[in-house]
Amino acid sequence: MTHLEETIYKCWEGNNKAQSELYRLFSRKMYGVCLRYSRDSSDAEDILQEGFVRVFTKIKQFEFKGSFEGWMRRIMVNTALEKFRKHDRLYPVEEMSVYESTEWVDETISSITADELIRMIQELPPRYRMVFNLYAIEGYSHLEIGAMMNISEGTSKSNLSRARMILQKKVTDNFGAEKRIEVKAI
Amino acid sequence: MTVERHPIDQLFKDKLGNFEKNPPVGLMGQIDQQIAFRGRVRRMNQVKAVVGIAAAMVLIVMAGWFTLDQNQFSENKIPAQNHQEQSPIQSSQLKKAVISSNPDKQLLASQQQPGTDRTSNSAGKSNSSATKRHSKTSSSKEKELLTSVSSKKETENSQPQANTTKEEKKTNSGAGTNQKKANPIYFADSFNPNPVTKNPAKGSWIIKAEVSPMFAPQFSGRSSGTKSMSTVSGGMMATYQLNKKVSISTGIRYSEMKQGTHTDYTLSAKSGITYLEPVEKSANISRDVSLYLPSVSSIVYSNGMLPAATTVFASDISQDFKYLEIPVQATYKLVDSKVSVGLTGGFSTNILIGNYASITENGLKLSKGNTDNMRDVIYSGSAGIEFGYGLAKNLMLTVEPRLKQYMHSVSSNEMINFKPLQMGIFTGLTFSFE
Repeated sequence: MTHLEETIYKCWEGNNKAQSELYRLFSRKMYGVCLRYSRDSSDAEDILQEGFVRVFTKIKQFEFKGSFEGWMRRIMVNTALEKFRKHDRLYPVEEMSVYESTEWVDETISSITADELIRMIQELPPRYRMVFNLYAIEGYSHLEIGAMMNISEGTSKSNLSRARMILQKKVTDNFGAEKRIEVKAI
Repeated sequence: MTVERHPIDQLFKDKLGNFEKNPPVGLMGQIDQQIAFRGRVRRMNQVKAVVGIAAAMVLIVMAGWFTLDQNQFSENKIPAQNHQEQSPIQSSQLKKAVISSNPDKQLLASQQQPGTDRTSNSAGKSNSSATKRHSKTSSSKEKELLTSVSSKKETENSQPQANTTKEEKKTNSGAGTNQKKANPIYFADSFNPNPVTKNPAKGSWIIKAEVSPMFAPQFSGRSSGTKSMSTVSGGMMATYQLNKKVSISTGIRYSEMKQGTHTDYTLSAKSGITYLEPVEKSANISRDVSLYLPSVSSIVYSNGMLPAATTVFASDISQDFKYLEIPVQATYKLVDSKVSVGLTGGFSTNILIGNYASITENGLKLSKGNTDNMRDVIYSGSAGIEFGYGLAKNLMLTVEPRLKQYMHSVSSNEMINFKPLQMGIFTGLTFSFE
């Protein structure tokens, strides 16, 4: 039995030390996930806290099929989605008129830090942020995203497209563009 | 076929796919508190559900009992009045029954049948007095009644068995099952012309509301630095009177334990969480307090207390435990008059519904939290002397000095063996349903 499995079994019994150990192992990664889905660090803390409470109270539902980290990540994402459904559903969506994209040189890309990208994502309207995270980073399909967010597949595509444009503009404005290209929708 | 990724997607995926960042310090403490809080809420909801169901059942039973009692009373009242008016008729019918070959059936049927008065008033009185001495339903007593009546009547103007007509026999054969309702004598018998009794009779129900201040003596296992604080206990009880002397009660009661300790504490870290720990490690409940500091660390630090292991500071810690108590209690009545005296004793299941602790220094509350390792359920025994004073027909005022001894240590920590003793003087009001 691995150390992780042993820790999980102890968490089944509500062992505080094991819970702390699990938190120590995964809190950094999960906080990174939560930051992407939230509008600021305070929001991310709320999601992380609620997510870990769910992890500890529902840990018996983990059946050791697949990665524990993946299971935990799904809980965090679901927690973020639930929070979005409760609070951010009616958040006004920003209209964009830019339909062009930019390609950046490698030096520009490498100079952008993760914290700066996180800040850009956090500035997106909530629904765009959700769709962009789910599609571009988590790898869900538009069909799956539509089901998760209770929107149509077309709306998901449209939201993704708009999210990309906003992010592209922010990157260009902040880090400069070398040449303009036409965006191909995927 | 590989799908070309959008450069924006690629950029964010590459940079943020495995992005990690340290969460704020102390979040784990908040998670722990949240889990504990939700556990308490869940337990409270379970307790509320059980209490709600129990209360509903008690109400239904009491309502049913009361309604039944009222119905019986109203049914009894009318036949009792008829009893005197119709006694001559009944006496003549009784006489018929006495001389019949089937005494039981004849008696029952003849009481129901209207007929002519062939007997004297004295015979009626005799029958009436005979029936009053006997119970309404018991078949053995019916036989006694027949024997008693027949012995008296055989010498009087009895009629031959042949006088009982075929019609009467037919009526008799079908009347047996409905006798109780139709028979005025039986109901007159069951009706008590003077129902006012000082004490509830066997089989009656009593409800009681009681409240008391609670004290814990210093010799009950605490260290010298810990002082108990007075609390309040109270609740509702339902009592069933088994007989004139013995009754058994159950219900629901709220109780509380509170204590304060003045001692030295130090800051220490366990599993990444900063705790306040008493410097002295003696086995006592007050030494088992661990309060989460992170949420209030700024207050502690701003008071010049650094989170170093060597930092020691004196403060007052207050612990408060709230219990929901489900007692089962027996009472044995020693004196049963206007002022009654009874011995009470029983056991209780105590469910922890509140666990609060706080640290105060110079009047400033530094931290709030709870006491570790408290048992969720513990059992206790109680004994007392109940004094009762009848205020009205069904209403009684009671005063009961009572001792309550916890049978287990309230903490699951093996180092701690703290079984508190509490004293209270319960004042209550009882209402009996007769």
